[in-house]
Amino acid sequence: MNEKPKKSLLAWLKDSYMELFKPVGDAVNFVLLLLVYVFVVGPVALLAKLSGKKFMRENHPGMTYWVDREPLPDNKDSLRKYLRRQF
Amino acid sequence: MYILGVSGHYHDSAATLVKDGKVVMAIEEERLSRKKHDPGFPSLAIKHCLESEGITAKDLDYVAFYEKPLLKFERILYQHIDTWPVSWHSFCTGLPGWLKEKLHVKRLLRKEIGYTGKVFFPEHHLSHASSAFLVSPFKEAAIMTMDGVGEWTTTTLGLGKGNEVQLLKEIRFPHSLGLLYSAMTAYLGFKVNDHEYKVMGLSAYGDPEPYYDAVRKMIRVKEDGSYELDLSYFAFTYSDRMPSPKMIKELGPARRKGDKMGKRYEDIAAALQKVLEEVLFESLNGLHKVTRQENLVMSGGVALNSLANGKILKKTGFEEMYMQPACSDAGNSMGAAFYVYNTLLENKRSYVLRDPFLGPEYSRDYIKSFLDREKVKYTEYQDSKKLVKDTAKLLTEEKIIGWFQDRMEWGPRALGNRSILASPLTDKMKDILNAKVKHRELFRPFAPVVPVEDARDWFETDDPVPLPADFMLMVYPIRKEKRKLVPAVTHVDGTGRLQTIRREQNQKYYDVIKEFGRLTGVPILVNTSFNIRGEPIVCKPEEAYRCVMGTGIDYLALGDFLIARSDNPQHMWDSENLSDVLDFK
Repeated sequence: MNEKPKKSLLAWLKDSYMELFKPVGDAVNFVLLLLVYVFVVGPVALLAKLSGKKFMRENHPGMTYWVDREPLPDNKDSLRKYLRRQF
Repeated sequence: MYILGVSGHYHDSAATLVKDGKVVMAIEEERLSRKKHDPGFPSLAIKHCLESEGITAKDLDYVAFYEKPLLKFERILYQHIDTWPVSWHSFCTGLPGWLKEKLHVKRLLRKEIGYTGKVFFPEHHLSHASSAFLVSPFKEAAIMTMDGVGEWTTTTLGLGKGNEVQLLKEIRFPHSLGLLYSAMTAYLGFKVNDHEYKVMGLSAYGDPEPYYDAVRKMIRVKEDGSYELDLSYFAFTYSDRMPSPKMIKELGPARRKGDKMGKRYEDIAAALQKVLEEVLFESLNGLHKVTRQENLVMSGGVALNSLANGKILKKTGFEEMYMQPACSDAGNSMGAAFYVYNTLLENKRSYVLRDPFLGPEYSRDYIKSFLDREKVKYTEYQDSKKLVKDTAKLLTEEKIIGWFQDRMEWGPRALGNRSILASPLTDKMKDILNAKVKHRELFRPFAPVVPVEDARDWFETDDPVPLPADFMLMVYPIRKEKRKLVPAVTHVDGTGRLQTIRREQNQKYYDVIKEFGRLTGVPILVNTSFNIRGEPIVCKPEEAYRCVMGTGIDYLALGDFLIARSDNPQHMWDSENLSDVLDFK
């Protein structure tokens, strides 16, 4: 009952392979992410900053902080289409 | 008609299977994967739902996923753009998960269970609202959803009527009462999306006044109950760290994990709880004005704040309220499925979630075969009445009982089928439970369970006792004259987070409490979750036995079998030394 199950040779090979190449994969991912962050997100962020665009609503004065929600479609076909969308 | 509801990829992943408008299985992924608050795709939970009903993915009519992944991804990208370049670390840690898995729900469903049919994606807060209203006993109700954040939304006001759920108004990220509470949870040295309930328990020890103004400054509230955060106090828009340097400057150094708890932290927790309640009640009163409804349903992580919940009917214009047991993200799997069934497909509502026992169960044969295989010494009962009597008697002798029966509970609380039971009659029981089993912070209270008809004799509850009290979602004061009779469940402020129980919900559990009442004059027991520290609540008999043998629980009532820990020394181990884990195959 206290013994742990022994690994098969195939599982052992797979684990060793993953262990060996994981750091390489991580390093490649890191470089790719850095490139995207600097050369894609960066310019968009700079353009947004220059044009004064804010995507997140920040603090602002007003009578209410509630935002009215657009009603969902009454028509069930339209509602179905809306629900099928992932955005 | 089968509809599968799925929630996942954030925290508390879960699956719910709805058959012809009734829940046939609902389970959180953590109970099967054994990873607490498992945030992954709930493959095991989905497979369990299908297997328990003896169906395959081909038998599913629809799958409903609890939010719109691309909309959420848009918010996260915009967050990185708005806060560039300081968002680098969260970009680097968060993005791979999105690209690899979170944006591919349909592909995951195909890969994991071979489902190729239609998938619907209701919004996160629409799923929350549906999870509260469509399984509630109300034909009409005002709806409030409040959590950290969904796609963009953090709080909504809505209205439920018949089959329809409409969200009327919302507050959008980064303004979030849930994130305020989470940021302060992090400040107090606890784990976000997990230990918020500890902050709630801690708040009873403090005095809110010294830090009230400081915490109140962090959130601005309008007369209509809408609110916004002063973002200069928070870092969650650009970092994994939640409090900003300004918050730390205002409140003093943050507590690090493992640091001693002190008066300052207790006072801050008390101030936070006071502010949360004020804002919540303002928002609810605003909702009442807009909808003019008598009934309220709530969902979202903030609805798990049982201390605030116990005051809602007194502090707002609502007369009745309902929350379902899993009102955090896990419950959204249920909400999404019911939204498709009731609202989209226009089927009449025919189900009220009154019974939280919606999870897996294990047969007498399964349990017996496990016990015999492992050569466990036990007493077998042919008649559960005798088991009930023996259990109650052991409880009067201050024994701690692991109580494992029938179907597992849905939601984060153990409600009597995966519970540890103990006597509430002596103060030392808290210490015994902590020393032998729970090993948790001393400031945390233990919860009482009481038959619903006795609740008002012992607690200052609303009248009638609201249904969410059955799911341990309400805290009420214990009557002053009774507090000394049940010291093990009386928190420092004289309250208890009670569970009320009805015989029709769970006969055996109810009968144990009643029998204990007959023997002692107190129809109340301590009910705490059946788990080893840091692990999810037990799901299978093997896990229950392992938990008992690794802790100081004296007896295990496993279905109709009673097992004494002391009779089975060959299986004893120490759960506080986790390297010595047993494997039960």
